Amino acid sequence: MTAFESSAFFLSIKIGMLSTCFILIPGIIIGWILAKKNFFGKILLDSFIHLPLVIPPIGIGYILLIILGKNSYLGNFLYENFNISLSFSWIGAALACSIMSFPLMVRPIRVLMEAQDKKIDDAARSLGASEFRIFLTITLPLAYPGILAGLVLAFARSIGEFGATIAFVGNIPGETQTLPLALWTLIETSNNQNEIIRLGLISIFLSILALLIATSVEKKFLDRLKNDKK
Amino acid sequence: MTQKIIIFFILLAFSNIKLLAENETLYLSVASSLYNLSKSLTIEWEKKTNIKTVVITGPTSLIARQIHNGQLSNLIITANRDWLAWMEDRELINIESISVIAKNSLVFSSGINQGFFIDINSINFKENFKDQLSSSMFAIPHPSSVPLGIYAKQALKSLDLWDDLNGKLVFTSSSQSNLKFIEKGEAIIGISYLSDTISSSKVLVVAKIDDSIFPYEKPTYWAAKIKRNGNDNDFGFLDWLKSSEAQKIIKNYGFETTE
Repeated sequence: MTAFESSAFFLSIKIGMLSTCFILIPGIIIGWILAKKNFFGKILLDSFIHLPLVIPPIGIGYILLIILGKNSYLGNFLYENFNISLSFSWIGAALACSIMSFPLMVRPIRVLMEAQDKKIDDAARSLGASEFRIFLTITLPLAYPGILAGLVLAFARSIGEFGATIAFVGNIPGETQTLPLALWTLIETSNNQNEIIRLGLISIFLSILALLIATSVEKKFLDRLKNDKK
Repeated sequence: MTQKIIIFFILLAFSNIKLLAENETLYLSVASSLYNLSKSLTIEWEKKTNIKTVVITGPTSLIARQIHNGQLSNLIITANRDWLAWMEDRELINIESISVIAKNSLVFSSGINQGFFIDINSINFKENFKDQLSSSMFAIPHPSSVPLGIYAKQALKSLDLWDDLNGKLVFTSSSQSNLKFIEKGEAIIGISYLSDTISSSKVLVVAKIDDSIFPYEKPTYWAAKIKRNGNDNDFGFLDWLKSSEAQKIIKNYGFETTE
């Protein structure tokens, strides 16, 4: 791989992993709230979570730029007090990716938690278990396949994220130029079709690699579940 | 095994972190049509000065908004004077530093196997052109937002073709995507920058559009130093761009120099 390609390749993995880490715990919590709790405004929260699926990614990126750029109150506050600048850094790119992939993380977790038999929770409660213990020992373990599916989907979405990233953190080689952005740069600037196809193949290679790892983790986990049942 | 693969992946990804030494790196924001030229220029300049350069590319409108929000470029090179004025209003650039570094010209270009021939100066040019175009499409970038599209519209009006092309125009998103439409034959002919056609082996220049006969605003590239906290520092890159050494590279890419 050339320096251009490898920098984009590793950056994509790095940003994909960080973005998935960002949303793992919030995704589980929101999935749990949406599945188990009933409250006023639940539909609103539900729609809000799904917004990134509907709003064009470039719109989300631009909103992030306005909210977290150095001219904004929040961006300025972070910069002045903690010397953190999210816009135009790879951490900002991970943030953009995590927002775009959040609904994909929440959805499978929520579906699995919703499908759980409420009687098990009730039985645990009748035996004196606290809500937190029920969550930790019943709800969470039963939702593992959903969490795993959410992780895979979110990681895949992060690797392919383009619009929000280019609008919020720009196209900076070595810092925010992930595989999709590098591919776009080549399409916009290069006349060498082979170069473009090569980068496309690298993207496909990365996706297949990630999916293979996900499948093997999933298989291992399901095997363990089966053994537990025996 | 799986765990090992995952750990390997994590190590691999994070071993690639490069700490950005902001002070010793020149960040250059350029219009997409200047990307390849800028790459060559920075390679030459890096050899001379040992200062690392990073070339950031994208639509000028987006880059300008990003610089407004703290993007770290030291210098911007763009074909779009309006956005430069927008940045001037917001005191993002050093007004005295604004300088023209290159010019370009427009050509009719067509895929190598299309067999489209016209003589732009002949009396029958218009009929000839319409005959050959017949029901095919003509590609130009969007005439309201992309610089090449704006210039192309002016040129087509000067050539008295704009009204005739109504309904036959394909509006593309940038000069390069426009060139790709023409290369692939999706549009039989279109207008390109001379510099773009020189770097492509799949298009032919059908005719040059001389701006002294058919007036249009000459595509011009401006460079300006970006101000941060009232200061600007481009490590002398802009001055070097105007030197004969840099201008020679610019000329090799099919641009007109300012000398």
